[in-house]
Amino acid sequence: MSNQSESPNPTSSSNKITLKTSDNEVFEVEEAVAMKFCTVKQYFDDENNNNVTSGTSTTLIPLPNVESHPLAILITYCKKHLEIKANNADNKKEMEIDMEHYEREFLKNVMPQELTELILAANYLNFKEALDFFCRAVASAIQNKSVEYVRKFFGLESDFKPGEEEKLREEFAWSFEGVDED
Amino acid sequence: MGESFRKRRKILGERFRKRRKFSSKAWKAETEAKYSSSYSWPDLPAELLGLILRKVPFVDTIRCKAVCSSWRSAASQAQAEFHSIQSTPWLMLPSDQEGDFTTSRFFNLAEKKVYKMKDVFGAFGDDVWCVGSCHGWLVMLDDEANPVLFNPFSRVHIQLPLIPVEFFNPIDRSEFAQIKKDFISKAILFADPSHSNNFGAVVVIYGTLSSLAFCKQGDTTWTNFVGENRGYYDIICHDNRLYALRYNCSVEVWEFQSALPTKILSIEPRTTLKHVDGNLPRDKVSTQLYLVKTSSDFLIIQRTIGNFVNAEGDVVDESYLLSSSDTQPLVCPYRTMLFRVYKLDLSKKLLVKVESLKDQVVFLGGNQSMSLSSHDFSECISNSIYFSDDRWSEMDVDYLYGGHDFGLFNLDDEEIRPIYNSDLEKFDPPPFWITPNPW
Repeated sequence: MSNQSESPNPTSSSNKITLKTSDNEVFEVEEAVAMKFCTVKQYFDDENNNNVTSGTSTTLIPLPNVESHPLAILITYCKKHLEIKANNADNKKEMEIDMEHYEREFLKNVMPQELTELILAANYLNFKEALDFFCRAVASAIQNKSVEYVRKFFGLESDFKPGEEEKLREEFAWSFEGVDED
Repeated sequence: MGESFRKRRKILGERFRKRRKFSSKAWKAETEAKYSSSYSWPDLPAELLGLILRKVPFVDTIRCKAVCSSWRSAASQAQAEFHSIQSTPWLMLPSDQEGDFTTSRFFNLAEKKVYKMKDVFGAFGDDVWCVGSCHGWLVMLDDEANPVLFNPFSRVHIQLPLIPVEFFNPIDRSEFAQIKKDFISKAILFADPSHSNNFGAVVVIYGTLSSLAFCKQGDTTWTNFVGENRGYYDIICHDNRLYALRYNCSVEVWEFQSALPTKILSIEPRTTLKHVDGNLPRDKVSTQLYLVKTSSDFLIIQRTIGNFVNAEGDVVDESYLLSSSDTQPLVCPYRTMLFRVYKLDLSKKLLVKVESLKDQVVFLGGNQSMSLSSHDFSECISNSIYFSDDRWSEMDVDYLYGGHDFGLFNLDDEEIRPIYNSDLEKFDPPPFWITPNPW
């Protein structure tokens, strides 16, 4: 299996951690990246406590609930996140601006279906910043949108009994007016 | 998932990892291919759906309830937690259509969007009058001047005891209904009755002497405060106590533990406010005082209103209205000219002028005076006062204006800006700030 070992700072010599996804793909990532995934960090710390050996590239961490596709995206996102943080270590405002800019660009490439997978993966990995970001992205995507749009966005179908939806729409008619259909 | 699809996914996965740059067209093509056919959408567990819905404004959560049953329960859950999270107040406005007395409009600052509600107040008669707004509830006097609490978003109402006749002696109850618009100048609640049905207590400033009266949950009538009981300008509830601002800028603290409210503290600042600041002629302006609790301080805010302001924005003398050669007097409605903010230094008993509210934003008017941080609500302009018209006594003075004096005062440049553009000149009933609390 090939490795994804691209680094924001090629001169840094850090430990690598190997992650194995549910579809049996193997990713080799820098320790700093892997440690942003709290689930991985927990596993890694437990392993280290059990064996006295320090973390080396031989550590292989299985991720039975994460597929390779969302993991690859999360790793890329995480690297950029760390890079922006390192570049603006002494300027929080600049960091926020850079991050916002990156996240805006990032979302241009993400499809709704993908967002759901990313949320599930970020949640499993306990990657808090990413989970927060993806949830915010979904929240703003459905803002001021019609019910039909939201269903399409999430691939959902109504399972209401006849009349249930109508009752809700009638009771809060004002909030259903003037929303975007697409 | 078919074999070929799985294979394709694998190939795509490899391609992805070989690529160096993240945002490329190839990625887009790849994901499009991935989701194009036979893709089964993963389900979001309720817990994660909840995370998303908690980041959605409440008005969107209402629509989310209509998506499907699992969304309905997740959205209800998010809504149940919503009341504890503050939102920015919306500006309640009358209809902009002539002759339409049944539609109310609600302007949401965050979305810059107006929501229209039909026949919200129908149950209370044609001539219902608001005297307070607190926790998303309006304190109103109905057609017959009977007080009632009403939440226009949930449409729930709570009847309050009648105002006792001795409060408006010597006139009788039917005459009282005629003067109700000029009777209560402020009404606040001690608690949000949305969930418990318990409002704690309602406190009002009423009558020509601006006295205080209250009605606790379960009371059958209204009771006057004991003591001098006159000259109150503003009241707020903070930490289950009443903070009452008087004409001389003293602030009284009242506790509601026993049957009658007890005054436990009176802070009388040793400094007094200048009647009018700046270059405004003292005899041509009026002032109103408000008491605001921010996250750190008690503020006393002085609002200066020009009694007659011409089209150029200058305060004029009443005689100016007739000085034109026309037989019709000029129309120069009253307008807010400026605000001054003072911090109440509790230990030194001083009023200290505040030059900047920093990230704080203040909402004033007939509502319980309140402050928010623009950090939490990016739709608000920091260091600003959002104000609405509470000069209700002038509502029926001129048919061409009234209720119109609302906007945004920024302390940086001391300019007043409109918050909502409208062709209307008279806003009857007058606009109110109300924080939506629909459940």
